[in-house]
Amino acid sequence: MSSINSRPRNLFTTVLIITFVLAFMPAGWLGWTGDVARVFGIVLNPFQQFGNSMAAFLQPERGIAVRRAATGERQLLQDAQNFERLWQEARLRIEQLEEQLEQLQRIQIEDFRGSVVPLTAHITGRNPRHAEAIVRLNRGSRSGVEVNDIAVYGGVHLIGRVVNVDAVQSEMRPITHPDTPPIAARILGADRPDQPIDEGIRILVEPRGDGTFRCEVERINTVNEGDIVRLAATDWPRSAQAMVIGTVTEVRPNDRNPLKNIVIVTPRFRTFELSFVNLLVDRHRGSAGEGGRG
Amino acid sequence: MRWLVFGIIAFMLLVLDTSFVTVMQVRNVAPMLSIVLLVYVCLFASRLSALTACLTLGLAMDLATPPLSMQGEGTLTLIGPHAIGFLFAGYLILQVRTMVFRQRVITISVLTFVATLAAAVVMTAIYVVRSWYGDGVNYPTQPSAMWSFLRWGGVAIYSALIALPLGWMLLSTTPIWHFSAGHAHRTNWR
Repeated sequence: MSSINSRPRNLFTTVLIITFVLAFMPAGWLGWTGDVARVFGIVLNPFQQFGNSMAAFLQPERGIAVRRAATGERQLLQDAQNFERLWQEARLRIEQLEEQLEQLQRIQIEDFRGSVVPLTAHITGRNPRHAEAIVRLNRGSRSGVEVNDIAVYGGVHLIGRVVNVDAVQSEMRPITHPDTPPIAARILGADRPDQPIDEGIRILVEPRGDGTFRCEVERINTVNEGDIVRLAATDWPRSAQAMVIGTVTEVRPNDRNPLKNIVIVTPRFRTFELSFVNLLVDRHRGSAGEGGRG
Repeated sequence: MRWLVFGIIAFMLLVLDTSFVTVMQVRNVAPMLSIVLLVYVCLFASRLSALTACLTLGLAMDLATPPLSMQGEGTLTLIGPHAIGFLFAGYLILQVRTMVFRQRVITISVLTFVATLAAAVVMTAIYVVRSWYGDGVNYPTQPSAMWSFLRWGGVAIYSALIALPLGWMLLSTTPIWHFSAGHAHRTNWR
């Protein structure tokens, strides 16, 4: 009788000891835990997706604002934003060609615009207590997703980058995550909508961990609140070039360096506001090479 | 205790905790619904059942929470922080449950606050200890462990507020749980 009663207690003790060991085991030995979580996620993901959709439905000013806006006049506005990004991206490309002519002569130039397709991916798992944490998406390698694919929203707003992929789901790190390395970008004047990106002010934005970015700009350059910050980094995929990182929300003097100003950049959208993102997936992956992928 | 009932309610709260609660987010602070269930179970179930439920709920939370980011590329799913944190919180509730009015929603609310903070202490401690390894994992203790703990204070207050309606709902389901101790089924807001 006592052995029957002690069986659950022994099982509990065993699981507890294993949990303790796992909690303090070095990260290098825990590669398999991701697979366990993914198997668990297969059961959980459809329900989480429903939960996220409900959250977006209840927050019209957040999640579905852009989706609703994609009709009529708003559609034209979004198209204009897309074409503006493509134009800026082309300008950036020209500048890169000028700077790296010798190297680019050896690289096959493909029209990536025709090869990159947007793929809607719903956010299934998230940590609401850490707004900038990694999120799970319901698209994986079966849909053509690969590590380093970028996630956008509203066509031109950069949201994050895929850091892990399995067959049916992937994990995306928001650009505002503290682990995101500094991103090369350009500041373009809000009062000059036709300003080419190559005339923009070069900056290096760093995530602060609170959903915003920080950078330093020479005081001689005029930066105003509302200016647009676009990505211009060669270590990011070409499909990410000239994407909007955010807008300047604060400019203040740098007390430690009087010749520079501190600029705070705030993204238009953050992952906790969204129920889905668009992944830009390369249709010709493999045949086109990985030249532009960082 | 009926484990099927626990499993269904735990699953529902786990899904809400990792998706829907963003709708309740205020300044990056969101409540933790599953901890209310933890408190409820610890108030009424037998000791071993309560601790097993805490460990199970914590393990499920560890697996359901998106992974931690590693420097460069890659992610890490860490099993343990929620499990051990929830277990510690459950143990605390078990120590005080004979001294409280179990069937009052206020009790669940106050104990939810205590349990969230207790779990947060353990989770933050595990992350701090692991950050000493220098294994390139970005643990959620940024910019500092104290800041992280203060944010958990916000989560605790928010969870305690949510525990008022959720605790009432759980107390209303007491008859279907078949707790062995045979507690009364009356729900009282005071």
